[in-house]
Amino acid sequence: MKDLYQTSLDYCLGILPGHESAEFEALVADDPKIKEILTGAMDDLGLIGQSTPDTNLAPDFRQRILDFAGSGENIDKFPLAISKTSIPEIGHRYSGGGASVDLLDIRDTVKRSAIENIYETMIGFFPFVSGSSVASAGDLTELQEQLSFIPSCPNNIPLASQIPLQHDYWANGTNGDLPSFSLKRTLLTSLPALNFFISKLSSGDGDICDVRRAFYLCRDQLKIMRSCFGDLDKPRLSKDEELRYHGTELLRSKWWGAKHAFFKQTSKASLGHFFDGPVTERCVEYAEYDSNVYSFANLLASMSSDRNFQINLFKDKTPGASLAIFNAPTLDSEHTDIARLFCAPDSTSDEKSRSSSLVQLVLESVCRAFRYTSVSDVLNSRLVGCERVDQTTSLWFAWPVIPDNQGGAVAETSNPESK
Amino acid sequence: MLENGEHIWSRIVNGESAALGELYDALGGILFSLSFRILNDRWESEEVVQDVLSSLWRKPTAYSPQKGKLHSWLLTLVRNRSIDRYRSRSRRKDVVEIDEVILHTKPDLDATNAGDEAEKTDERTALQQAFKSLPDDQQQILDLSYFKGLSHSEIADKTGLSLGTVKSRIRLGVDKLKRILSNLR
Repeated sequence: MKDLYQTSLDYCLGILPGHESAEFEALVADDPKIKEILTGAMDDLGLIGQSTPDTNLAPDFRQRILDFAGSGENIDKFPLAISKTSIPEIGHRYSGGGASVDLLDIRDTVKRSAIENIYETMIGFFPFVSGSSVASAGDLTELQEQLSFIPSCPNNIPLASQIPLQHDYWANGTNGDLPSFSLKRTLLTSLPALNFFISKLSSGDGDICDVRRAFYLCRDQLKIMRSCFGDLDKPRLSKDEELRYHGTELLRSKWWGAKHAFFKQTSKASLGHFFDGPVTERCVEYAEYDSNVYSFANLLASMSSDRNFQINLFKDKTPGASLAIFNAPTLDSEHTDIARLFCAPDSTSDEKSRSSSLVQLVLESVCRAFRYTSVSDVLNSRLVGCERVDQTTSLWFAWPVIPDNQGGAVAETSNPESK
Repeated sequence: MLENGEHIWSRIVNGESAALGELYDALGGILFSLSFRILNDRWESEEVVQDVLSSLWRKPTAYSPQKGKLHSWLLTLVRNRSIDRYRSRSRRKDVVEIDEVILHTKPDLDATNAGDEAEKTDERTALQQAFKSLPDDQQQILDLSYFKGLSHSEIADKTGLSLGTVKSRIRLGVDKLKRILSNLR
């Protein structure tokens, strides 16, 4: 009995070698007495878990958990004209990095300097909002002190609206001006929301929930910038290029009940349907996927009639692709404005130029991911789209699916679910 | 600890979101504290707890009363997933490099607020005190085994102890915690 109890302890601790683990599981399945020893061992080890010191929970954590219980949408609720036919074979699956240029490709030295400054500033800022920082426990003193040294990032944002994109991109997608796209991706995806939360924390209005949001935004911003400019931080980029599957739970963690902002417009994200499984194969691919998510989130955040939007991730609706679908209530005029952006670029005002750029970023990215040569092919294939169902605007983009026989997120140690 | 776990679980199986709230109220703090003890990272610990509770909500039949008490099962899941993340993080040095630039103060692990203190059970207080009262060598071995996920041989290599001594100290530590709980009840 003692040996079985010891084996049970070892099994629960996840330290039994693989073959012994399998043998033990077979014993447990066949003998209720051994199963009882195992559950007893699990209870006993749980006592150690219960002896850990208390740590305060964030005030919004309970609601985030309960919000999840209320989520879940069926794609049929939105009869979108998404592609139902298989995507043409694209050969080796796209796994990111195709948007990368060098900093020297940015000819304007002011803009180049701005990019480097933003990156270095965010590298210095990141530890102060990390999960092991004092700010994450609610003490914002040190963080605010650090923020007083950060130059005003929003000064860099107007640069984005001054960067023209060649209009012939719409006809000939592969002629796109990659340096300009990298610049816009850097300045218009996660950075506006990050600036918003930095300002809020700096002014003393922020709380632990804002620290959390700033953490995720800062982490994403750094990865997006590295994926855009290959020589910005080569050591970290090489880590980003390693094989590491990113699952939908990563998106769920950071967007779940998240406050969001795009320049002056604030909004709130909710989650609908999220399939279980990997979305991308590498950080550098995930950064590009993320920039598409931010692009459509920013677009709806600024145009949603009640400033709320919902994110859904589906799989197997378009063969060979996963789908990210964004929904928000809109007025007729708001939807018309959004839909126009999918027909042609609009630079009649700074605001329209920014919104137009967001659509162009997604089109350009999806075009590359599926090896299409023109934006019109992407739109005709319904891999990116905009539609209205009832009073809701839905935007979506497709992404090359990861086959089912490949792994997901980090593997677990001994799995109680297998007992 | 959660005495009506089976009942709460059966309500979750029936899709009652209020049951998830009750489960969170009873165990959320303990699950988070355990994960934070291992990871020392609030955001990662939140992700672990979210994943575990959302998994239970989405697939409640992954658990059944035959697998033991609900709270023990959840603690095991949280502990194992936290250990996995800890190991994965240790392999990814870039995260360590960014976070190296810091911060000589760390959150107070023993921080509580008055409201939480009142709700903490006598059992949990007793277990916390009992763990602290374990001999240093037992605490060390339990820490390396339970909170760091090291195998017996890795612990033996690290401490210079024999495998048998490592195993017996784990058993002694667990037995003492069981005795404290038994005396309390």
